[in-house]
Formats: sequence, C-alpha cells, structure tokens
Amino acid sequence: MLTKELIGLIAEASGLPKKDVEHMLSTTNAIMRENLMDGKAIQLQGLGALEIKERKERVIVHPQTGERIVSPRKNQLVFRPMANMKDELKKI
Amino acid sequence: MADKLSWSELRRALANRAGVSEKEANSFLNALSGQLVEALKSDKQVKINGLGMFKLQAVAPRKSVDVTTGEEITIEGYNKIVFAPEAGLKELIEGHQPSADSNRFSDIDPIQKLGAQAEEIVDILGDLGQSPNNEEPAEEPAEEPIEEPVAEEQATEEPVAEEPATEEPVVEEPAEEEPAAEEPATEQPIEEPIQETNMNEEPIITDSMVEQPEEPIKEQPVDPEPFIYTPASEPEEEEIIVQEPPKKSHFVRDVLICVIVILLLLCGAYFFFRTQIGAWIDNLLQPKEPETVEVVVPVDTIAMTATEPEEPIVAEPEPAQEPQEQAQKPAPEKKKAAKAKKASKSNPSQDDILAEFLAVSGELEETESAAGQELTYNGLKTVEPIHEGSRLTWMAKMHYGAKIYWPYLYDANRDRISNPNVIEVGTPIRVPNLTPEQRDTTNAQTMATLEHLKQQAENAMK
Repeated sequence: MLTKELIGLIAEASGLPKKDVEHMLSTTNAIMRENLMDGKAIQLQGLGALEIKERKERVIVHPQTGERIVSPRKNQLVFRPMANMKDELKKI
Repeated sequence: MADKLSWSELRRALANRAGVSEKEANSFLNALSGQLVEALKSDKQVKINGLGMFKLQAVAPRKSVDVTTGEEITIEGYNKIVFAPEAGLKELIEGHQPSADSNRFSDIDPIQKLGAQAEEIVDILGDLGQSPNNEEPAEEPAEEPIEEPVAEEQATEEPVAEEPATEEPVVEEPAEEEPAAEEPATEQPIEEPIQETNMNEEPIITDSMVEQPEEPIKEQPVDPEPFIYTPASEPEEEEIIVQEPPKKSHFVRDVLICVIVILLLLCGAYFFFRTQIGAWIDNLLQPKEPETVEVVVPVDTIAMTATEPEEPIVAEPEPAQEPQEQAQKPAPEKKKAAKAKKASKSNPSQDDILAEFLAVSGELEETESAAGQELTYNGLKTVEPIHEGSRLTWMAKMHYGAKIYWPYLYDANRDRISNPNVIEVGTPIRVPNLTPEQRDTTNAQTMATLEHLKQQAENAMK
C-alpha cells in the first residue's frame, strides 16, 4: 500500500480532511527525524518504537577475496514492535 | 539509549508545528497507528514517504520442547512487523554522530559522575570568572571520552589525577591571567558552592588555596601539584589522543615496496647475467653457421657472412670461429638470423654487395640458362643478390608464393651454388619464370621434378 492510500484511510478513520492528514503526516516525519538525529527513540502508541541502534566498529571479511576491512561505527534505525503485536495481528 | 520522545510529547509537538489542535493531532496519530496495522494486515506492506517501508513477515511454525515437561511442542507460526528505513533517512542516521552527552557516558559510570560534575564546575567558574567558556564545555566532553577508555586501563587513581589535571589547564589559564590578588577572591566564593555540591569531587582549584579547608584535599588523592604542571599535562593529553590514531590501511605503501623490490631484483639479474645476456643477444643477431644448419634442417639454406667475396672457401672457417664462440641454439636461430642485421666489421657493406652484384650481373645478361641447369625456364623473372641471412626457400616464397619451389632456384643457379646451404653474400640468384605447369602442385610430374631437384640439392649440401 502506498502513502496516498494510507492517508485516505487515516482521513476516513479520523474524519479529518485529506490535505490536513497529509500535512500532519509530513510534520510528524520531520519531528521524528529531528528527534532521531538527537539520538532519541520515538514511541508510537499501538505500534511500537523507532529506535537508534549503534553499530560499533568491526572487522568484516570479504567472502570471495578474503580481504579484511574495518567497518566503521554507524547507527541504525530500528523498529521495535510493541509487546502484544503478535496478538493484534492475529485479530481480524 | 538516551531519551525517548513519548507519545504525548509527539502529539504536542505535532499540534504546535502543524498548527492544529491537540484533539486533531490526537485523532490523527491514533488513526495513523490503527490504520497502519490494518493496512499491513490487508496489504502485507505499507510505504510511508519520508519514513520507510513497513512489511508483514510470516514466521513459520517450528518444533520446540516444553521447558518444564520436556515434551515436544510446536510453536505456532505468526506474523511480525518489519521496518526498513527510507534510503535518505537511513544514510542520515547512519553517519550521524549522536550528541556527545547522550550516549557517550552511558557505559562508563564511575567516571561519568566525575566528568559531569567537572562540567558543572567549569560552568560555574565561567559564570563567575567571566572567562571565555564557550569552547571549554565542548572540549571537555570531547576530551573525556578519548581519555576515559584509555584511563580505564590504567590504575584507578591515575584517571582521577589526569582528568582534573587536563581540565585545569583550560580553566587555570584564564584564571591565571587575572591578577593574583583576585584569585583568592574569586575562588573563595566558589569554594562554598563546590563544597555544597559534592565533597568527593574536589578539584584542584581548592588545592590552590592552601588555606582552604583540608578535608576535600585529603579525600582527593591528587596532590596540589598537578595543576602546576600545566604545561606537562597538556602533552599528556595530546599523547593520549594520539595513541588512538585512525586505522589506516597501508595498501599504497605495500604496493610501493613490492614494486621497488621487483625493480631491484631485475637490476640484480641484469648485472649478474649481463655477459650471458649479451652473448645470447649476439647469437640471435648473427646468422647461423653452415655446420650448425646442416645438422638441423637441410632445407632452409642460409647465406653466410663473408669477409671477402672472392674467397668463399676461406670465408667459411673464419665465420666458423665466431659462431663457435657464440653458438648455443642453432635451431631457433634460423628464423631470427634471416631478419636481423648485425653490424660487424666482417660483413661486407651494402655498397660492396651492390658493387659485386653489378659486376656479376654484367655476366648475367649473356647467360639465360646457366651451366648445369637441368630444366629450361621461360626467361628470368629477375635476378636477386643474396643478402645476409637470405634463404632460397624464403626467396622462393617471395617470388613464387610458396617455399616449396626453392629447388627451381637451386637448379637455375647451379653454377653459382655449390652448396645451397652456403651461398656467399652478394651472389646474384637467377629467379626464373615458372610456367603454370611448374607451379602446379597437383601435377605429379611437377612434384616429382621438384623432389628430384631437391634431392640433388641435398646431395650438394653434404
């Protein structure tokens, strides 16, 4: 499903006009982005949390050449679903 | 992990930024999470522009064991939500260093307190002493993480010593600029708030004031002296920082070393084997000698270098000596000797050859058919003098298109060729015209004739 469709669904469910929903979605994205840059995780009620995970420096080996390289330190954006998401998904 | 942005905070921020009421923001956010799940259930994946892709992944059921009873169980299959960030967002977060305060100290608790409190003191000093503190707070967190991992390896007392010591140079310098009289004045009021905050963390500021209460000094394992060693501590700092240089690959350096080694080996080889190499090259350049050629391939005849054209017989032993010095590989020589020209004094110059040719060709016009010739030809196509390294086979190829016709050349020049393998340089070779019959390789008689002539030539070579 594409973003547009989702916006349509949200508009229906919330009763808000589509344009507003679109605007609010992009604002939400921006807020989340900024907070993630600060290293803050974002809690999404009913879904889970978006977190930053640190990937430390490590030595990786190229499978064919056998060359060893140092992979630098980096961050990963990770989604952690909420605890009872399994059950939620089972519901129709 | 540092902080979290809670749901309500997000709602508030959304309302503020988007210019909507909190109620609207609330309904939006609720709808968002709800519909996202529903959409995943129906479509298995949902893409949100600016964020990423949410997918529903099926996990297969698997066998396992009940931990209490030990009996086998099957864990049911289920669906899980998987998220992949959008490319731009991913890179943004990947390379981004989180703010220094948030993550850096989380692992290093004991010293964290020290560092955090040191910061406080610096700030307080900055406020009171009105010294430029803008850089200092930033510096300290930067320095500390570098120092702390190193410090942890050392004895516990030393990091304590180093930290206050390193901060002191920054703090003390602006402080030192002030007239000495002010120092006690400014630091005295500082003393009290510092003492209030923490008795453990008593930096050397107190130590500078010898009259000050000694309790903090006693607790502090550090002497008053470290801060005097301001210049000394700074190099320590730098050393510590330098100890952790970025890991560079030395690929370029390694390649250069290999190249240099190879070049050296080549030079060495050249010098060691120079004499032999010279001999080998000379061998290639010089035409093969008759004796050696006979042994290998009788068919290919090669001209010999001669000192004087009038003495063909004498000329034989002379050049014979030369190749004996050099002769190593007779077989491959035959091809190479043909093309190469050796600039040796024993060879007649081009002028000499031409002169001889002209002299001989004077005779030529008289005789179209030479003595001893077996076949008759339809006139001469041309007359070509033997060059150094020429061969009848090669000449046959040039004039007739195939080497196999060389016996004709032999036949036409029997009076001049006693030994087809040994022909003086400059000998004019008659190149007769061949009839189509004589060229016809399918003609049995032609082939027989050629074979016959060839036998005769070979006999002459012995």
